[in-house]
Amino acid sequence: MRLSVCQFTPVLKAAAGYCVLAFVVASSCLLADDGQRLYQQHCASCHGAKNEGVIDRFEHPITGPTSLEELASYVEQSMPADEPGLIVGDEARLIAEFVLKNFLGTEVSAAVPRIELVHLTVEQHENSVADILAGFVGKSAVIKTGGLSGEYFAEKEFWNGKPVLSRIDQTVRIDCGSSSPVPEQPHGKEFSVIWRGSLFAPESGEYSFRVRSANGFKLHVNDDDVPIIDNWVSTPEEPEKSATIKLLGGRWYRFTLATFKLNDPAFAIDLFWQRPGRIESRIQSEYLSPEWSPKVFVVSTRFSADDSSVGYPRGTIVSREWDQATTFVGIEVAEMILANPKQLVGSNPAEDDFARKCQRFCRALAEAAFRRGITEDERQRYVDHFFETAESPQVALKRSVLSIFKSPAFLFPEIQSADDGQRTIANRLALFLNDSIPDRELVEQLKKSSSVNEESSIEMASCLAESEPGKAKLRQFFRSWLKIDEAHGLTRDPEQFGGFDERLVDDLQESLMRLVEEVVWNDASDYRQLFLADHLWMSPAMKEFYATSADDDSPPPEVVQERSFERIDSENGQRAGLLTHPLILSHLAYYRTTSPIHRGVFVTRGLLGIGLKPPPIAVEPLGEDFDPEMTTRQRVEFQTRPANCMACHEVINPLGFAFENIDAVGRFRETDNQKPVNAAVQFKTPSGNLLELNGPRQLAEYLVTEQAAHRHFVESLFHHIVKQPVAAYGEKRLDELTDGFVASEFNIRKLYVDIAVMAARFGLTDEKIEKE
Amino acid sequence: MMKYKPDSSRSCVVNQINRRGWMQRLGIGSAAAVMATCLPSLSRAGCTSKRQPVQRLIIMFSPNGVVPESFWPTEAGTLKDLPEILKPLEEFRDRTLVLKGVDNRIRGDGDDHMRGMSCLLTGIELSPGNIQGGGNTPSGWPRGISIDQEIANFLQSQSETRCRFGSLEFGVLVSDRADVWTRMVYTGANRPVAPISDPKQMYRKLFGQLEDRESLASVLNVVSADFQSLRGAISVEDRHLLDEQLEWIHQTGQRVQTEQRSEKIVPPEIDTGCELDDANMPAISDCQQDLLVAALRMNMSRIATLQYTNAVGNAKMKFLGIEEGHHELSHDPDEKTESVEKLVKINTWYCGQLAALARRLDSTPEPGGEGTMLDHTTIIWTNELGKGNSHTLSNIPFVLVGGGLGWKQQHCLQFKNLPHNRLWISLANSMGHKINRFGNPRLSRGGIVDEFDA
Repeated sequence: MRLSVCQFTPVLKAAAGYCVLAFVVASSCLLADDGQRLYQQHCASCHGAKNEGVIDRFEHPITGPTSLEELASYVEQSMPADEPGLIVGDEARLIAEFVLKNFLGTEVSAAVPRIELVHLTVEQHENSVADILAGFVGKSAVIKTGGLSGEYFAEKEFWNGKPVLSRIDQTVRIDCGSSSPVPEQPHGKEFSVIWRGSLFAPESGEYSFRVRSANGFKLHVNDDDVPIIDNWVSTPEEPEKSATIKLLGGRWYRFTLATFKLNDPAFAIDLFWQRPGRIESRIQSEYLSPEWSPKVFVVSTRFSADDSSVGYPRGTIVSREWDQATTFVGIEVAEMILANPKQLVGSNPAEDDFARKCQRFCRALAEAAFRRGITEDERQRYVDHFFETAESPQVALKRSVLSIFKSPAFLFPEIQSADDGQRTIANRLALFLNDSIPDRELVEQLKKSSSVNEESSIEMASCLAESEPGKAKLRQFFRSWLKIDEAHGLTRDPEQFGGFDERLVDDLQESLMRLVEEVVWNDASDYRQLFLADHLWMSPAMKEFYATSADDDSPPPEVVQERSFERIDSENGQRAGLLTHPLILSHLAYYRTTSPIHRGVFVTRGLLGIGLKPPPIAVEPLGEDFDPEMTTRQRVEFQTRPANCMACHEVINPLGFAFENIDAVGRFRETDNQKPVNAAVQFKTPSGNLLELNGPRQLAEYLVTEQAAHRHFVESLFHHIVKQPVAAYGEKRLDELTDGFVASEFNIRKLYVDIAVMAARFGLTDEKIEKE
Repeated sequence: MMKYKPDSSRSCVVNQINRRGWMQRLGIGSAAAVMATCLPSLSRAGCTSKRQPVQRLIIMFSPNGVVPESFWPTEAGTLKDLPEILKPLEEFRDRTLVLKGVDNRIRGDGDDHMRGMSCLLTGIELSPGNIQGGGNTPSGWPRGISIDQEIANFLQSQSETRCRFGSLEFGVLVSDRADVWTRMVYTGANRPVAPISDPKQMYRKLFGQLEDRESLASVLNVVSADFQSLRGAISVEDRHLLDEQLEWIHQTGQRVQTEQRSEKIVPPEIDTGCELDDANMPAISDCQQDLLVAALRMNMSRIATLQYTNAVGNAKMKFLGIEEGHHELSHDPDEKTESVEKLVKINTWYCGQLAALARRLDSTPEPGGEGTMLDHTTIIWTNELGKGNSHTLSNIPFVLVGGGLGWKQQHCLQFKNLPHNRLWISLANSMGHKINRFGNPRLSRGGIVDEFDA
């Protein structure tokens, strides 16, 4: 269970109250009354007999609400604070029951985690809209990557002539001075070039494009008609132009850049992009394709962020802003349709069949948006009624579209499930794995099959999981789990760490994602390799920077512009996958020094899933000048020595100290403050074993065997996919999934599919799944 | 004086699907009295200023020069007989001012069409660039702001004259490219403003909020009925989510009703299902003018431009019985009388559009003020060239119709090579914006032209 101290969750409020006290194991059979006895015995000394709190211990009452499962699990893992693991099983459950019933006013039965009714999250909303409309125009089928198709013309009007040269260009970057980029036409007085193809957006967000050129050019992204930059009339005094566009992750977008030269003294063009949470760079050829893609309908309406107080975003808040945003989406979609009537409706207003086709379109739109067939009554109310009453087909279409996108059936995917279980499974799988609706192909496929048994569900899920949106969703999981985007803008003391600049940090982000992608998408897809991989993907800039050890005083290396990444094996056998990745370790550090506490908390909470309460009082970390003689480790040990700190720091500190041989920018080191570093620690595992570790490699070897870490990984991924508490799918569900994960040799992709299939089939009986 | 009477056969039909779809009249004349108030939620800022008489400006553009013999009055002074092309203005002769001898004297990069267009309202040179015209050197964008934007910025800086839009740029069949032939409005150096040539898009810009509100009102019942019926079917714990949603829908419904009650006018009816092609030019023009007058009446703006095609515009005006494109005709020599007649016909049609615009304004009482809207609005009809086949930038046509500036009326003023910069300086000053130079400083010398004043 993940209990965040940063997000002050209801769960946390309840759980944070337990504290230190002595304990003797009660044996034999336990009754409900024993809950009170156990509470008095183990908890009352800190929390008070009636949860009134105890001065100098835990002064505030425990507040709720939380669920029985969550509280029992928290008691097991973290209580008593000085000896977690002492109260387990039925005892933990009895205490939790007693607390819930008597102090939090919650009926235990009602507090059992359940599948809550939720509306679409922002990501689900945006992707669903895009895919509903894609059902009418088709989806991208890009296969070939590696650059754009470039066509070179001997005249300025490329649209009039035949290309004198056609080729795939890996990137758009030409500087040919006064000559021509076409060898056969060296004078270069007049020519034009057009690059066409598609661009891949690996993640959702705002993308900026910048074209540096003093010549005339136009850039189109996801729209053939309206350029995002129109600089056909050149402005030499402003030799670069940029524009920003919102794109959804895991999709290809049509992309065109046209340029020409006429009498200009010289010709040069250079294209850059900036991905969300990254710095500007040239577009790597793997994100470009010479193939064409249909337009993706991305709504520009902004939603406020989803409620993420439980650790993952879910649609549990209905606010005025949300309601308004749903209206704006409806209006925006209607406008998109009316702007592309031929493409979407199949007719235009000048044609006789326009009204009829609009009506037919709206019926199909309702079926796609409701994710099922629509009833006669719905067809009348959501579509036909408007066409009977509105003054024009356009107005009717607008109203129909708006009503469809404001309907409960669209906004709350589970509110009215489809009549047949097969469709329900497909709907859920598409939502879990693609944040979207099932595409037309999948729906057609369903119509043909007689039933969706477990095997065919798995097949369907695998297909969705390995699609680009499916990969993007999994990628997003790692980005948020490892907080990769948060590292954007990371700075470290330039005097001490010269060369650690934003370009290097960007390379580190790329390097870490490469490690993740490599592990996830290779055949074994072995979770353990995330921790045990003894190599690092290095850019030339990283090689320069990390070639020297932290103890080296040589001057900072020069900035290197190249961005190719190379797999470099560890020389000292000390690398341990993401645990020693410089991005993670520099992110979990201070401006000049390491931060064993941040690193320890990351392992405790982020990897082992052990709940931690916030410090009892606001504590500022001691600065490195506190005692010039001390190492970082000594300073932290000194500061966290008091007993009320040690309740948590007994766990955190050793896990953090194990990284002390890696400095604040992720370089291995042997000394800290001119003293030898000490990365040897003693650590008590969640199951109570005392472990001696030295350095992150040994920590990694321990972590891959630790069941708590496996459980936590499974649970985190579950929340990311399903966006419901795992316990709602059965008390033992997490254990089952974890066992399956272990049995599959920790196959991440299989887990991804298994979670989705289990949750998609949940609550459906075989009869329901069988087609009538 | 004759007032414009709307043609009842073209008035809009509400609540009826018009399948073939064509733009419908706004019902200006008869409904004008009812509509004479502003939309509170859309134009609040400008509406309250009754103190100063309202002044508005519309610049109307048509391309390819004129046929001088049929365009210019034979003599300066009081405007007596109108020349052939200007005949449609007869009913507004008493409010017409023709300026002869005003030149676009901007030289430098770009051919005459390019400078004729992009220096027309900016009065400043084009930057060197990559766009090659039919002659001279290539060029880029103009180096400065256009006069409509200059005045709009001034009006927007004053709380009394501030409107929802500083200016509105209407187009009729303007080519879908951004270059020095298609753009005359600039917010600054290298900052062209695209006119909106699609009435549908302009309607959306002006009245989209109102239309959306109507749509929203009409769907709330459908949606809330479903939320209501589902409410019973879901668990008690989840019900709060639907209750909250229902509450928002209810509140939205109430808000929409209140807003509807509080406003005295509805958005004008318009069928946007028209093809934007040359054959529909008269209808597009009608529609854009209706929208323009409606927007000005609701005080959404005080400055507008109405651009018919673009420099070198080659519209095929078959509705006038002319098969050739306008630009190709304009190149024919004067001796080719057949072409000259066609050009006269084309220009007379444009003048007819000017008259129609004046008529629309004159048939609408000035909201909250004296007289008609035309009394407070000056329309300036102009062109990128003086004459098509010579490509001259001398004697650029400037015909002013309407009032509010305090300038001479029923008059033709003759100048000798007056730089048009000084016309723009005078215009700005008469609209309260005190400037003594605009665009090229050398050509601004002399500043305000006193002869304009009545």
